[in-house]
Amino acid sequence: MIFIHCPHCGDRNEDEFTYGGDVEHRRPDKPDAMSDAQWCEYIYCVPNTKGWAKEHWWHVRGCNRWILVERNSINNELRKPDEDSGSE
Amino acid sequence: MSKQAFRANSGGRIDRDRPLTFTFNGKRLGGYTGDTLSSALIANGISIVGRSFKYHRPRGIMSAGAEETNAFVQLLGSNEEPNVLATTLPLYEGLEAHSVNAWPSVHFDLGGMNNFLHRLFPAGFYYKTFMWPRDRWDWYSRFIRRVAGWGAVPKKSARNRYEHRFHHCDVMVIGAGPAGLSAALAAGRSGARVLLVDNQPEAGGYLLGDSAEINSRPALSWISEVVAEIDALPDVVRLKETSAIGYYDQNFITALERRPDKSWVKERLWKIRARQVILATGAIERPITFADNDRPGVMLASSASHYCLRYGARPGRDAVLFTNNNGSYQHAIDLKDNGVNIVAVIDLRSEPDASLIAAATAKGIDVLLASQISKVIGVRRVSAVEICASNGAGDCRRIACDLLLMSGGWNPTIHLHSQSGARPAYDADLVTFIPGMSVQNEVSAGACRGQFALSTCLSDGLTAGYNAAKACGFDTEPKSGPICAAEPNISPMPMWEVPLPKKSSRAFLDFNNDVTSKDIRLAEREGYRSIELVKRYTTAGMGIDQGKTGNVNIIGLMAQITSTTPGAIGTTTYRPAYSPVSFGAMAGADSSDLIIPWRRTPITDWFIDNGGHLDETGALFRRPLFIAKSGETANDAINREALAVRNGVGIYDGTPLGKISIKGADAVTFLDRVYTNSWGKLPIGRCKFGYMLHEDGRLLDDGVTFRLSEDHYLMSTGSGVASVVQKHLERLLHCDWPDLDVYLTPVSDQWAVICVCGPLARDVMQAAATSIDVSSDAFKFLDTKNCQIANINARVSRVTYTGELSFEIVVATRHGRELWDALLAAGKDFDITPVGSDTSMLLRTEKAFIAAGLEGDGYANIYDVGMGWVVPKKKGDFVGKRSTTRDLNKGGPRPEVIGLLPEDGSFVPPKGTPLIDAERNMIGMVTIGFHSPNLKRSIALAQLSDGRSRLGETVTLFTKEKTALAKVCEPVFIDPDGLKMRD
Amino acid sequence: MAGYNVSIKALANCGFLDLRGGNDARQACNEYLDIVLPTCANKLVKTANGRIAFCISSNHWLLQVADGNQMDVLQSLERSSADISHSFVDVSDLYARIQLSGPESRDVLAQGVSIDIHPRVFPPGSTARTGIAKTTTQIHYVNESPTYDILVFSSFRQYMLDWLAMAAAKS
Repeated sequence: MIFIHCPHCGDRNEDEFTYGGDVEHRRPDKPDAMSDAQWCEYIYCVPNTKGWAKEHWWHVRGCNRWILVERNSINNELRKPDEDSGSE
Repeated sequence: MSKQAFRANSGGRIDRDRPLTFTFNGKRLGGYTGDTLSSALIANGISIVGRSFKYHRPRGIMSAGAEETNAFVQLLGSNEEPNVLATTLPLYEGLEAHSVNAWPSVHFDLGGMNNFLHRLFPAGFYYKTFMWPRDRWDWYSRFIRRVAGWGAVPKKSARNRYEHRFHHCDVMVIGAGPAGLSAALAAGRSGARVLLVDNQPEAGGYLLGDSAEINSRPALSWISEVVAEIDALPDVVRLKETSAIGYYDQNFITALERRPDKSWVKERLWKIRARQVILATGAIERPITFADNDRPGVMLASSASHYCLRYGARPGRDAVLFTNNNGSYQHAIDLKDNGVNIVAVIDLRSEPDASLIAAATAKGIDVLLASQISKVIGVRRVSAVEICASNGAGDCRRIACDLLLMSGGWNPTIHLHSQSGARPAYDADLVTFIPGMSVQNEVSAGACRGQFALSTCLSDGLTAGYNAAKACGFDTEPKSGPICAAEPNISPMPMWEVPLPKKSSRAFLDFNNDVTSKDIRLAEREGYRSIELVKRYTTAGMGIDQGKTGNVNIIGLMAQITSTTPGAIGTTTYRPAYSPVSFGAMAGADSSDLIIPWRRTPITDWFIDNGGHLDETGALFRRPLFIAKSGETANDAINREALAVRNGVGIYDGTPLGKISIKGADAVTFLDRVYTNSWGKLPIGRCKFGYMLHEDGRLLDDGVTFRLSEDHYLMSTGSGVASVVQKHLERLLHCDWPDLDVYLTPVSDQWAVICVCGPLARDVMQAAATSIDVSSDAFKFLDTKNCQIANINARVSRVTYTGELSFEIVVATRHGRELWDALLAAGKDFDITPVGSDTSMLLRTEKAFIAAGLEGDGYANIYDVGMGWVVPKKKGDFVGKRSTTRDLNKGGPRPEVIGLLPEDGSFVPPKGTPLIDAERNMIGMVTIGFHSPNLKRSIALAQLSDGRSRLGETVTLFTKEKTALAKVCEPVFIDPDGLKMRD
Repeated sequence: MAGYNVSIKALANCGFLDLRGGNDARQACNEYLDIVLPTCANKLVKTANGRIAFCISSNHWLLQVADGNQMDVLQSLERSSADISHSFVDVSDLYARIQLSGPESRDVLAQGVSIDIHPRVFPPGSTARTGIAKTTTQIHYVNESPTYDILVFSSFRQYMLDWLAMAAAKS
């Protein structure tokens, strides 16, 4: 039960949040400019980092905001991301 | 009822003014308030409490605590429970228990035959024996299954309440022995919020059964003073009979409280988040591995003295101590001082601490050095031991005794520390594993970090308590700690197996699962060298005790066998729970109907009261599948409802539909990106059907979106996918398109939705005093208007999910029931029929309105399901477009949606029925099948490879019972031009 | 007597408005409502005339008004924010209101609330949006009797009442 730091609400149990994927996995701006193979890479080869990664989490049972979390997938250690959290 | 022959006349913490009676294996016995079941059994001289797992050897009580490995009982009565530890079960009046794993009785057990056949049952026997003939394994396994296992599952279950409790604190202290009490006191005095948990009914830990002195007075008075001070601190919570069982991420800890303060709660599972954790979990004495070390009457030394001092229960009359360390001498002396005759101390070492030898000798105890026990005589109870010099010199001698104390060293209880993610470290001086570096905000104090002297436990605890409080911002001046006598170091001698007298002798390491030193050697010989493999191959450490007394001995023996160190072998992974926890405690409220937070609409109560057959329909709603009249079967009801909707008028509760308010200057841009179609031209006050795809091209949802004002839209989504769509939209908006000026507000529960549908729908609307003209010219298909119905403000749209003339009425939730009742009343003359979800599924199948998740499954794209018309030719990018284009680029056969008319009109193809070609290859699949009462025959929808070019053909359906033929047709069975809904 | 010493009541409807927007929208609301909307999540302010504004996050508020007034307030707010990026939505029926009070209220709440509700860190006047058991709620610690007002989405109303009754061991 990891304890996620929401910059709006403070530390909350992970079951208040929904995982939103790695921040590296941004929707491309111009899908039409990509080949079929490149597009499949985006859809199906989703980042699965071993170690530290920046992630989107949605605080759905709290402030409803999307936040940035830096998590180590090996041992669930957490640390605050360097830049401003959240996309808004 | 027999006397308690082994009960001291005085002493102990039992209440001799409150005697109790209990029954064990059918025999009535006496005890006292304050006893555990095991202390009472010992006081009554009960030797055999059970039979061992595989070999059915008679076993007695080996320890006094949670590390017990033999004394499991079946607790009978209204709260029957299997595998209860006798050592931690407080005695109560009328307690009834019996041994497990023995038949017909623990004294005469037929299973004892296994002991003589033990060569058939080595470690991993089930991989090797009972394999011939091969096909007889099932026959053998039936018998093996019957004899395997311990207690029996109760036939009736008592309805107990189990609670969960969240708790936050600054400092959590686990263990209320000397270190834990000191830590809690220091932290509590600083004003920090402290939680102190201990698995015993009273605080004090091992001191409750020890002769130690603190500040020159009995330790027990120190305990009462400290407990009194702790209990008076307002921000300290002290829990008794509470085991900390799991240590998780970021200092999240679970603890199981038995017999909590509220009488109606059987057990309480605490879920704790602590800023700082202090582990004061003590240490567990370990056995010595020697031949027949499992006989009744063989007991851990400290446990024996604990029984004597704490409960006034003497585990025997004449005892011998077999040891390899200094710590055990005091226990022998304590026993001697309390009425147990200690005949001799057998020390494996040649140079124990001189002061201890002197103290023992002064009490008349014979001390034999550099000696070992070569034989234990007695099967149902120890009667004598044979002692030899370790170097083999001289003659062996026999000593008569009925109690054999063993002490092979001490293992710090590092389980929770390891669960926290830290690794243990091997300490060669202490010959055991101690905590390694902490990885969370946690520290170990006292014996659990290898500091066995009482004075160190006390000072450790104080320091840990002050430091933890300080780390939380509570900085106070530490007071000085108590004083107690110096103790010699434990100085154990590594001894992982005392040489066996005969090859066939068995020396036990894991008593719970009957794992012997021979088994460990066998595992190593067969190549299982990793300690994790040794564990699983021999089952050592996998029993109810989870290897609390055995694991370090096994690691030590493996190290010896492979000529390496215990540190190099390492430990197996420690996992929660530290001690057994009931399913009830884990489930808490989930063992009731509250396991699912069922949602209701304003109409739910009406359905419950009027024959609605409620079932789970997605998004946590339970909706009526149909509403049966008295005597109707499900099919009767569904058919009647379906006929009513097509020929008369039906009424349907659509409240579970998802509803999302979308507002902002970029609302149209957003809608254009998430829907396949375009939204810029939708006039205010009108609505439009929209289709939404996943990014990979799969169908996500279809719905109707209304334009309420210039930049304000209300999207409706399917009820089952409402939260999926919400997450989908939120993620796109906030992670991929944060610059769009759009606000999403979910409003599903704000609005109740009722549909009136069927040829007579207009009549009902008029009869319900709708305040506007609902005639065909005034209120067209897809119009949306505000009005009043039965004096309730409403927004009405002509949208349909059934293909009939349909009015979808949206009102504020508080008016939902009122509107439903008003419409029913207005519709009485038209025989208005409430309609359930199964019926609406049938109706939409007749019209082949595509359902995402059915026709639109993981393979089909928007063109496959015949919905290409929702994608305008000149549309820019939208979610799912690129994947759909990829499908088109790929070419090849597509799973296209078609209709099926089975040749046998009474055969309803089940969902998932494969369509096959002549070579029995699967070329398609039925997505839904129904008997249509409107067509008086069966219909189905299916995906079929290149189905649209096979209209008119006959295909084969393959079911379990038979194959069936069906004609491929256009996917619509009623009103193909959609005239009725546009009326 | 079995059960915790608490009482559980379903409260009458209030008017609720879901207000979202940036600084401009917030200023406009402040002016019309004569209030200072907090920008810090899980805080509330009360107005002289009994309104409560819950701050859900720095650009999102829930305004509680007397039932019946919500449409007037909504329309006035819309008028004062005509050219400002905002979203004001009537959610008066989205929320149901339940009150838990009595000396052992925290013993009941702690069975399903995973945040720290010790009065030292959650004193009267505190609010938080968090889960109770399996649903999302807005918890408001009203006074020290102790009394907690709970807002829950209306389709979960019966579940919340059932859960509180179970936790209080009154069922």
